[in-house]
Amino acid sequence: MSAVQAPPAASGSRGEQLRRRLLRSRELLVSYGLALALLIAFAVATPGGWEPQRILTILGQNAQLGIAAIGQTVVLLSGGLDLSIGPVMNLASVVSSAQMRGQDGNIAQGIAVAIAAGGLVGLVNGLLVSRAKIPPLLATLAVGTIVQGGYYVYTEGQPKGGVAPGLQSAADAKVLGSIVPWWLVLWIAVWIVVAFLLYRTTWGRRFYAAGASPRAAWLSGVAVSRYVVGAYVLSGICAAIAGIALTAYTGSPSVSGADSYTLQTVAAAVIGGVAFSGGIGRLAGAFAGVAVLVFLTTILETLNVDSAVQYVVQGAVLIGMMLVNRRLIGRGSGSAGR
Amino acid sequence: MPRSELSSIAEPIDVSATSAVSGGPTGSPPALACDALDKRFGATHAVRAVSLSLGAGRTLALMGENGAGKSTLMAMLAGELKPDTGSVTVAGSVAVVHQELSLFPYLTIAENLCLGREPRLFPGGPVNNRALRTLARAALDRLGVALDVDTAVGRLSPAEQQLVEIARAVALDPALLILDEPTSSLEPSQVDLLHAATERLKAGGTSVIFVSHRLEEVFRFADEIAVMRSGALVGAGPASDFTRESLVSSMVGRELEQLYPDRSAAQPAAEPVLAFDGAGGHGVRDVSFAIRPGQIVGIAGLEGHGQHVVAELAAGVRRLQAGQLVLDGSSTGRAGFKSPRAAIAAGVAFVPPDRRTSGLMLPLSIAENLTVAAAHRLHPARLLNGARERRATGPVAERLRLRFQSMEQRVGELSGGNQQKVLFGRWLLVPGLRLLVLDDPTRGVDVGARAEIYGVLRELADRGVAVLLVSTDMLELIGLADEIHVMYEGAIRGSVPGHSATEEEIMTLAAGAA
Amino acid sequence: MSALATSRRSSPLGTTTLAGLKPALFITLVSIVAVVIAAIVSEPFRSPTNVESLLFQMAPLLLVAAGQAIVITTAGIDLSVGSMMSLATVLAAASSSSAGAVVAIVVAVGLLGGLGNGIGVVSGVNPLVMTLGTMAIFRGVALLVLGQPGGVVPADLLTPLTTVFGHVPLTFLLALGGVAILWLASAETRWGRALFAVGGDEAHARRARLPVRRTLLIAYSLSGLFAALAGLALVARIYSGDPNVGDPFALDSITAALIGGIAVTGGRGSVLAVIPAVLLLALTDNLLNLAGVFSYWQYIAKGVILILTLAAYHAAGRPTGLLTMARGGWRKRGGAA
Repeated sequence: MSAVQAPPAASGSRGEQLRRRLLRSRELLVSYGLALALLIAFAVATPGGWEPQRILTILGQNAQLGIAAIGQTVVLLSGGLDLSIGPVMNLASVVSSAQMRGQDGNIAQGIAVAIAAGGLVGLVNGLLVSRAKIPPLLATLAVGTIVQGGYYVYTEGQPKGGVAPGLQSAADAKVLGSIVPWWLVLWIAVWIVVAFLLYRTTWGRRFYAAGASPRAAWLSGVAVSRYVVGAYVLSGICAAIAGIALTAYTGSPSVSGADSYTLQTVAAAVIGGVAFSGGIGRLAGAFAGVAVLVFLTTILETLNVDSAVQYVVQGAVLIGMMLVNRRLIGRGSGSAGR
Repeated sequence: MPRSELSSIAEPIDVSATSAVSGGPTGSPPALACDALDKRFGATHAVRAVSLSLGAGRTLALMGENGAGKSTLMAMLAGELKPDTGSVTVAGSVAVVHQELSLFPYLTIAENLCLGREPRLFPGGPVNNRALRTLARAALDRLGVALDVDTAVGRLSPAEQQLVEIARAVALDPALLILDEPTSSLEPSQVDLLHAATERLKAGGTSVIFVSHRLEEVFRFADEIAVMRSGALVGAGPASDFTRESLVSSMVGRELEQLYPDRSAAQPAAEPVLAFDGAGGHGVRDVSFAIRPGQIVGIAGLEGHGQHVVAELAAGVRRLQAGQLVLDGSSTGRAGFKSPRAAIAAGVAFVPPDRRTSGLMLPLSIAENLTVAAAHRLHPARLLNGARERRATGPVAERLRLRFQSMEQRVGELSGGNQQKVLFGRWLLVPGLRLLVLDDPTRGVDVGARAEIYGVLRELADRGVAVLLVSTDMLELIGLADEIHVMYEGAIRGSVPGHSATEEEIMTLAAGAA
Repeated sequence: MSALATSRRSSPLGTTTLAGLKPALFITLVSIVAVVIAAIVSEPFRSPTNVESLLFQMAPLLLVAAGQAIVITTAGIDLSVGSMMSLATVLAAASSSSAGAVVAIVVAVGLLGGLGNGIGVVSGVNPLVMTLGTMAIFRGVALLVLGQPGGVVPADLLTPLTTVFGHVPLTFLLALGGVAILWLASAETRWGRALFAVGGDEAHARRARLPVRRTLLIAYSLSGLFAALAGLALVARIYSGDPNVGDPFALDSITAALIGGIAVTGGRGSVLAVIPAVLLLALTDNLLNLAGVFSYWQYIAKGVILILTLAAYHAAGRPTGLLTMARGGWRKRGGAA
C-alpha cells in the first residue's frame, strides 16, 4: 500500500452501495432463495397451495417456532447458544395451564407467570454463562435438564389445570380481513420489537459488538455481561411466549410437546445465516430459516413421508446450510475458526 | 522457574572463521532462490515481484518496517502461503520460527520438540518416551540450552520458550532456517547463545534468514542484507555495503525525521493526568511515574518484562494489587479503575496490541467499529441517527486518511494499516479523551499508515491529550516519546529522556544491566 | 518437583500422561469415599444384586464417555452419541441375524457415522451444529429401522452380553478394557500426541505440520464407534432395541468427561479419569433409585452436578480442568518472572 492515500470516503454510486449491501447479506439471499424455492415446491406439490390464505395459515400455525427462533437468534448473535428452549416452552405450557385452570379469567395471570418463569430461566442461563463462565452449550443444556426434571417432578408426568378456551380460540382467530392468523401477527410484532432494538438503537449496536468480539467490546467500554444476560432473558421470554402459543394451538398442556423445538430453533437460525461465532447474521434470516423448515415439513407431510425421514432431511438441511454459509461468510470477515 | 536456570553458552566456537563477510554469494549454488514472488490480499499488495537468492551456509537479514511485507514473504519462502505468481526453490527443507510462538503450553519441552515425529517402540506402536527425552535433550544441547525436558512449556519464561521454539526448528536439520524476530524477548547472553548456534548451523551448510529490528544484531549476525518497503525489495547486498544510517533510510524510505512528527516545544503542564504510585500486581511492582497533559510517555522493555501489564493497569483492564493509581490528583480507588468502562468514563482510552482479537470486531462494519465506544454519547436518545453519525465519522475518516469503499464495509476486509486507523478513530470520536494508552500500536502496520497515526498522536498531544505508549520498537519510542521508562523483571529499571535516548541506552536498561 | 522429575525421567510413560493421572487419582479418591459412605449408610446398596446392576449401568456410560472425552480433547463436542447408541440398539434388535453379523454392522455404522461427523468438522462445520444435525439423522434412521421399542436381540448376542462373573458383568469388564485402550491410544501414540496438540491450538498444530484433518477424523470416528459399542452394552440392560433409549447419554457422557477433568477448551485431560467420573454419576442415579425418589429427580441432580463441576473449576481460578488446578497456574503473557 502506498504511503499516499486515495481521497477518503470514496462512497461510490448508489448502485455500487446497493451491490455492497446485498453482498454483505449474501447468506440472507441464500436462505430467502431457499425459502422461496420451497414455497414454490409446496405450491406445486399440494392442491390449493397457491392460496395466500393457506400459506398464511401454515405460517400462523408455526408462530411458536418463529417466536422461539427469534430468541435463539439473539442468543447466537451474542456468541452463545440456548439449548433450554424446548424445556422452557414445556415449562410455560405446564405453568400457564396450571394457572389458567381452563378459566378465561385467568389468562392474563397464566401468561404473566409463564413469561416470568421463562425470563427467570433465561436469567439463570445468562448468569451461568457470563458470570460463572460456563460454556453456553453446557450451561443451557444443564439448566434445560434441570427445568425438565422440575416440571416432570411437579406434574408427575400429568400436567395439571387446562388451557383457557379464550386462548384456544385465539389460536384460530384471524385479523385483517380474516385472513391473517392472530398468532402470525404476534410473531411479527415480537420480530419488529426485537429488530427495532437490534438495528435502530445504540443498545443493538453495542450488543452486536459484544457478540462479535466480547474482548474488543469490553475494552471499548461495553458492559458485555449485561448484554449477554439480556440475550438469554429475551430468549427465555420468547420461549415462554412460544410455549403458550403451542399450548393454545394444541389445546392441552404437555410436558414433552416442545422437545423438538430446541433443535429446530438452532436449525432455523443457522439456515438463516446466523453464525455460531457471534455477531454474524441478521434477525431477518431467522424468518427465512423458519419458513424453510415449515415448508419443508409441510411438503414432506403432504407427500406422506415418514416422520423418521423428516428427521433425516432436517439434519441434512442443517448441515448443508452450515456448509454453504461457511463458504459465504468465510472470506473477508476474518472469522474463520470452527 | 527462575530465569537463572537457563545456563548460557555451552562451548565457545570459532566465530571469526565462518562469519567473515565476503563480497557476496559466489561459487556455491544457492540454497534458496525465489523469482518474482507476488502476493495480494484483497486491496493490499503485500509482496511485489521479489527476487532473492542465498548461498548455502550464509545468513541473510531481512529488514523492513512493520507491515513492509516481510512476514508474507517468509511465509511464501516456507511454503506456508502460495504466491500469486513467481516461484521458490529451496535445496532441502525449510524450518520457520515465527514471531508468535507456536508451542503447546500444556505439553512438556520434550513433547513439544518431538511433536509429530516421536520415536516409537516399534513401527506404528506407542511412543518411546525414553528415546523421546534423549532426543529432546540432544536438540537442546545443540543450542547450548540447559532446561529440564520434562517441564511443561507453559511454565517457562518467554525467553526460554523462544529458545525451545528455535530448538524445535533446528532439530529438523533444515537447509534453510527462517527466524522471525527471534531476539525480541532475549537478553544479551541469550542472544549470544543464539548467535553461537546459528554460526554452528552455518558451518554445517544451513542458510539462515533472520528478521530483527535491532540494528547492531543485524550487523553481527548477517552476511547479507535485504531491505523491503511497501512489499517490494528496495535494497540488497553484502552487509558490509550498508551503514546504520543507510539501512534505516532505505527501510523507512524517507528520513526518520519525516516519519516522526516534530516534538512539541510547549512544556507539558505540571499537574499529571494520571500517576502511578507504587503500583504493582500481575508480575509488576513498585511502578511510579506520571503522565502529564500533552506528554507522550514511552514504556520500553524486552518481551515479558511487565510493560503490557502497566498499560493494562492504566486502562482498567487489570486491577492493581498494590499501590495506587492517581487521576487528577485523587486516587481512582483501592485497585485502580474497576474496568475499561470506568477508565473510559474518566477519559482514559486503550488501544490493545492485537487488533484482530482484542481491538476490532472483524465481522462488523467500519461504522459499527468506529462508533462502538461513542454510541451512547453520539445518540443520547439511544436511537441511531444516520445523518448525525455520518457527520461525526466522516471527518474522523478523513483526518486519518482512511482508505475504504463504504462505511458499511466489513472492517476485516481492510488492510492492517487501515484497520489500525479505525481502531484509533474509535477514540477520536469519544469526547473528553484525556489519556490514550497504546500497547504496540503499529504492529503489522505499513509505513504510510504509521506516519499518519504518528501525526494524529502528536496532534492529540498538542491538544493536551496525554499518551502512554508501550512499544517493542525502540526507534518508535525514541522518535515519539518525551520520556521513556525501561522495564526489567516487572519494575522500572531506569528512565531516559526521549529526545536524547539511544537504542544502546535502552537495551542496557532492558537487559537489567546498569 | 526435582524428585518427581527424576522419577519421570525413567518412566516408560509420557510426562504429560503421568501428570494427567493426578486429577484422575483425586476423582478416584472422591468416588471411593462416596462408595464407602453409601455402603455404610445404605443396606440395599451393599447387596450383590445392586452392585451388579450398578456395574451393568456403568458399562455403556463408560464407553460413550470415553469417546466423548476424545472429542472434547479436540476442543469439539459430539451431541450425536445418544442417537448413535439408540441406533445401535435397534440394529441389534431388528436384524435377527447372527451375533457376529450384528457386531460387524454396529461397528461399521458407528465408525461411519463418526467419520461423517469428522468430515463435517474438518470441512469447517461447527462441531455442535454438525453433531446436532447427525443426531437428527441417526434418530431418523433408528426410527426407520425400528419405529417402536422392542424387537428381538439374537440369543447368541444376548448371552455373552449378559454374562456375569460372580457379580461382575462381562460388559463392564469389556468397557473398562475399552476405556484403557482409548486412554493409551490418546496418551501414548503419535495420534494421541497430535490429538492433544490439535485440541490445544489447532493453528499451531497446523503450523507444526501435524496431520490435523486425520487426527480429527480419527477422533470423531472413535467417538462414533464407542457410542455404537455403548449401544450394545445398553442392550445387555434392556434386552431389546429402543430408538430413543440413548437420548440422555449425550448429556451424561459430556458430564462424565468434564467431571473427569477433560478441559472443555480442549488439549488437556486424561481419558482414564472417565472411570471414576462415571462411577460417581452411576452412584448418584443408583442412590436416588434406592431412595425411591421419583426418577425425574435424576435429571435435576445431573444438571446441578454438571453446573457445580464447571462452576467449581471456574471458581478455582482456572476456567477448565482439574489438571491445571493440580499443576498450578500458568504464566500469563506480560507477567514477569
